[in-house]
Amino acid sequence: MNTAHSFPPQTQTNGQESHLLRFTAYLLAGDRQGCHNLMQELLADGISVLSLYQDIFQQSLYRVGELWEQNRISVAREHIATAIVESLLAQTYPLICNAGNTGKKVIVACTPGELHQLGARMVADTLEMYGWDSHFLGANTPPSGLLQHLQEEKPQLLCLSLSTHMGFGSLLNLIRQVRIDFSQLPIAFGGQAFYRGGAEQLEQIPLVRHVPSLGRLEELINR
Amino acid sequence: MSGLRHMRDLVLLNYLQTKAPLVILELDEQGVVRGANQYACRLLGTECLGRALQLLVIDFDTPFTMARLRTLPAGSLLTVKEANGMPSSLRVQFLPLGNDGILVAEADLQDKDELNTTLLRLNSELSGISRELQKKTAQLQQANNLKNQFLGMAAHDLRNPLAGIYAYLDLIADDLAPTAEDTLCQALQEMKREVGYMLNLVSNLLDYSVIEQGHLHLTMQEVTLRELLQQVVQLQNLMTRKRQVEICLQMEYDPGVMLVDLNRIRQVLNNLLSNAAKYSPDSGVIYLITARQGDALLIQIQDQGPGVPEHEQDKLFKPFGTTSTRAVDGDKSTGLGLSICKRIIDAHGGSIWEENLPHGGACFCFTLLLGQPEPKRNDL
Repeated sequence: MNTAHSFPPQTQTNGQESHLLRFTAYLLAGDRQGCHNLMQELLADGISVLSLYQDIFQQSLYRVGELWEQNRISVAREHIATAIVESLLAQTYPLICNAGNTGKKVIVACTPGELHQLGARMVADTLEMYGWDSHFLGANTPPSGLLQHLQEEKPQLLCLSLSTHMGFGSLLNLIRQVRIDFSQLPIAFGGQAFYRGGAEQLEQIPLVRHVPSLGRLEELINR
Repeated sequence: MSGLRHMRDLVLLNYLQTKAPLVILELDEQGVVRGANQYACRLLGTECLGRALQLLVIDFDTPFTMARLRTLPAGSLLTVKEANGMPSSLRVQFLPLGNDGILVAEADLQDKDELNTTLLRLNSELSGISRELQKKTAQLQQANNLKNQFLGMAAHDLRNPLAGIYAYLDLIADDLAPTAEDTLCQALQEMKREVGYMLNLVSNLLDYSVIEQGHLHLTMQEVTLRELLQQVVQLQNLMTRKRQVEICLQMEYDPGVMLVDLNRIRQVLNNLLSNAAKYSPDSGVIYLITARQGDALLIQIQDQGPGVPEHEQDKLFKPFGTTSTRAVDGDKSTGLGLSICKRIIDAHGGSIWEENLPHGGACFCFTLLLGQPEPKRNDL
């Protein structure tokens, strides 16, 4: 049974840990209202949207994913937890869409065959919070659709997400395809697939950068 | 060996009775449930015991009988009513035992998987659409704020020159009136009216943009209501003198002193009374009535005009919500005055509305909280 994970290290205060435990418990129970109420409570207490995403949503889903990998919960329960967080993300949009406009544009997409879009969505929202005009293309983006979108929108950054290492080849091919027409476009990639390594190979491609967490993404934007 | 088989049968039977995710119902020849395993009791409710099959199976044509069950090919779909009232489709197989029989049914896992996948995909799509909508809303909000800023700046810069032109026209009209030709006087009056309309429009636009940008701040002060109403009536009577329209004040309730923004409430009263005058017939009477309504002061302005068509009442207090009713002297409405009144009254914690009088005419009403109301700052 696999129990050791190398998720990005998170420093949780006692209060945060207790909120995280509560939120995870609601998720595992499929209690959408409980999750919603806790989110409202945290927002009312002044938690930042980024911290909500990173310290509560992301961390709780990692824990749920871990339980699934250990066969302690079913895939259905994992799906319910994801769906609940996805619905909560939609409720935070009014808070994130009011940032000013930096004039920068980003396209955020999942690699072909990648059905987990939550992480990519959080990336799109984080960039939106920093005033980027983020175009989120969602799960399983076909390469032709992505290339067309890049051609039309001419973004300053492309972000790609991968959750399982099985899709590594697909991501590599996609980056190579993008490079043919967009040799100077910076590409950031990330996702759960890289928590056990594997990012180095992709980072050898010029202007391709691994972003292991939302916190690091924030650092990158601020630089 | 036979002992071991017997043990195996018992273990299997116990599993089917207590654990297996299969519906197993023992049915007698009338189709009444005589036995059910635990899964069936959970899914259909323990009340299924002793009930006829036709009460458990949802059949859209005829009641479901044992005879029909016997003819069903193995693996047929059957819809049952779950204990929670929801319908559920099961793949069934009937095992006859003489006149009785056993119904074995299981959920269609392929169907459920497909449903699950579809729901997840739809949820993701819906979430994506919601995200796009929020983004568009934020962009629209920003565009709207910019528009209001522009509106405010334009109105502010136009108002002063217009006021100057209006004052000069007034002077010229007064000076020339005794000597000038009728056509010249008429032209001057027409110019004055048009410039007056423009001045009114830019003033309203300025107010509207200030309110829309959330910059309307009430300056609350103690006001003697009777004094305020008398002053407003006196001024409006002066303005309606030419058409012999008279405004009568009837104070059925006098709260004495009230805490309001004097200038803003005066603006509301002037707006409502001048509107009433515009739509009143010559020599008409307008009543300004005060009354008590619970914890609030009710002010009514009743006129003898045509009233507001019922289907247009909804848009009265919306910006640019003009109605088909025309003023007696042909004055144009900017369609902003009433929406500004509404914002002012809302900010005071009151409400404003219109109702037509039974014998004709319109009655504009608004309330102001008595006591010490806190202005609603969030709405401003």
